Amino acid sequence: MAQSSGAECCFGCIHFHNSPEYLERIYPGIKSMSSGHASVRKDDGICSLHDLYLSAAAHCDQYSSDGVENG
Amino acid sequence: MGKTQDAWNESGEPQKVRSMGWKELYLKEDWWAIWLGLGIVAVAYLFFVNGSSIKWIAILPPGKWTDFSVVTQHFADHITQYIAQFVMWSVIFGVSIKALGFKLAQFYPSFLFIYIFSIIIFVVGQNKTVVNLNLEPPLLALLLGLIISNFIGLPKWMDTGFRVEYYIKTGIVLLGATLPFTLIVWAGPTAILQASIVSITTFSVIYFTATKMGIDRRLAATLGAGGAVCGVSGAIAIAGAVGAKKEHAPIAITLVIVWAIVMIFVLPLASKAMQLPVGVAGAWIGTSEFADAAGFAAANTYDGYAGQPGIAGNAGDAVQAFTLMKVVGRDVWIGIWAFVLALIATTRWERTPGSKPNPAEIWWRFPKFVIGFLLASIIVTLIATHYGQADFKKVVVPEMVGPIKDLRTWAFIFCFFSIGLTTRFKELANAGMKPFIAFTSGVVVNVILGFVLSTIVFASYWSNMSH
Repeated sequence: MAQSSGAECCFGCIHFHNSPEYLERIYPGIKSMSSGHASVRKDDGICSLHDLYLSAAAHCDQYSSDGVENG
Repeated sequence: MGKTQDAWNESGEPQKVRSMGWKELYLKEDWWAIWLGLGIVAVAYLFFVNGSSIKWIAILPPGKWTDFSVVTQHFADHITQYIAQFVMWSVIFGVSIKALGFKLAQFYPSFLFIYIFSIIIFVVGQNKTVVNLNLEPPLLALLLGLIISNFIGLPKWMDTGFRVEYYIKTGIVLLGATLPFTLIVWAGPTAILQASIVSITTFSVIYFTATKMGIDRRLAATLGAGGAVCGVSGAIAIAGAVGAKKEHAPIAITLVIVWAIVMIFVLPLASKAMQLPVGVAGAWIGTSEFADAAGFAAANTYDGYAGQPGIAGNAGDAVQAFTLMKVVGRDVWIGIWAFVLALIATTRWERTPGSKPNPAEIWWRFPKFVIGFLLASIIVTLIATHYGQADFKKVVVPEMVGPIKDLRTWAFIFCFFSIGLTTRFKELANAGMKPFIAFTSGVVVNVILGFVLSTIVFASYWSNMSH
């Protein structure tokens, strides 16, 4: 996955999910010695299309907008 | 704005959080630890300059005891203070918990559970018989939590109150108020040098062992960060930075947690067997523990041994040395590790066209609670400049710094108990033999190298911190 320099990045993609609660549910061990709400995690999340855990700034050719305005 | 308390929406789809940018000032635990910690320091100072003190509310159960009537009398005399303290913690944690998107209806009963058991842990852990068994309160808290979560079980909703990282980050900010900034300046470069040597070596061992066994480079890097930089936080930061597979992070998380818990017990007990000075043991724990929370449990434990036969140094030296080594020496560099590894991943591993990672990653991934820790240290150090050393010890410490330290002790016990309560071994991912071997090879190197550097090469620094 490359890093996006534009708006079409994982953040706005329908396949990307990154809420802290979601990540703590998917990765239960994360709560034992870290947190989904930690600064180090930034906005990273899971791409359900490629099964990757990656930066929200990444992008790929299979981007599909989730239709929500960023912000 | 897609911020939600729930992991899934009404349609059963997993949720997402929009770009935070500066919204992280109220949406990340690190910043809330800063507001909470510095808020306590500010209130403590305001009371102090007005001739009063927060020590009334910063009450702790009695120290080493043999006669239980001392304990019962203590609680009979001070029950109002404990109730007031519980209300204080509930209010100030509650505000941040709500802002972070959790349900207060879940947090409050869970936190009551934490608070009551923390009192029990303090009391039991200060009994002289228990002390003689080397079961300091941090170890007791961890053991009790592990027993409850793995053999008894609690409803999952109670995890809302078991916020390990939030409690330890708040505790670290409060710790800053008890650590002179001059010490950070004096010992910081040594801590950075020692920690860097160990981190780079450990990462290299884990990474190259892993890749030699055919493990995916992204998993190898994730394992390396978990073992060399800052535990689970390091693992998830690097996993995200390099675009790891979804199953890579849980593998690293499992290995970090298992080894970190082992080290909570092994490092203090091994240090005690070798009668290491308190500061030296703290430095060793700082290089060879993986997570801040686990490391503070180990360092706090060793501080409890200060003054026992053959163990030189003062109570508090281990935590101070650990903080310098782990927080200043390792944690602050996570953003740089993430940026460098992201650069390598996008330019050398993937070979796909696209822009390189933004150096701003270094700031966005920086563990912000460290800012609060440094600010707290600077604030109290500046206050100290208005007093001579004797007056500072006689007046400022008991009326201002001491109560802050006592509240920090509470935050730490909340954390240690929560580690045990949230570590459910059957929920951890199966790490697999190859990742286990790679990670463990790093553990071995880390422990030995950290020991040599702490007890021989830089021993004079860690033994003489108090001076």
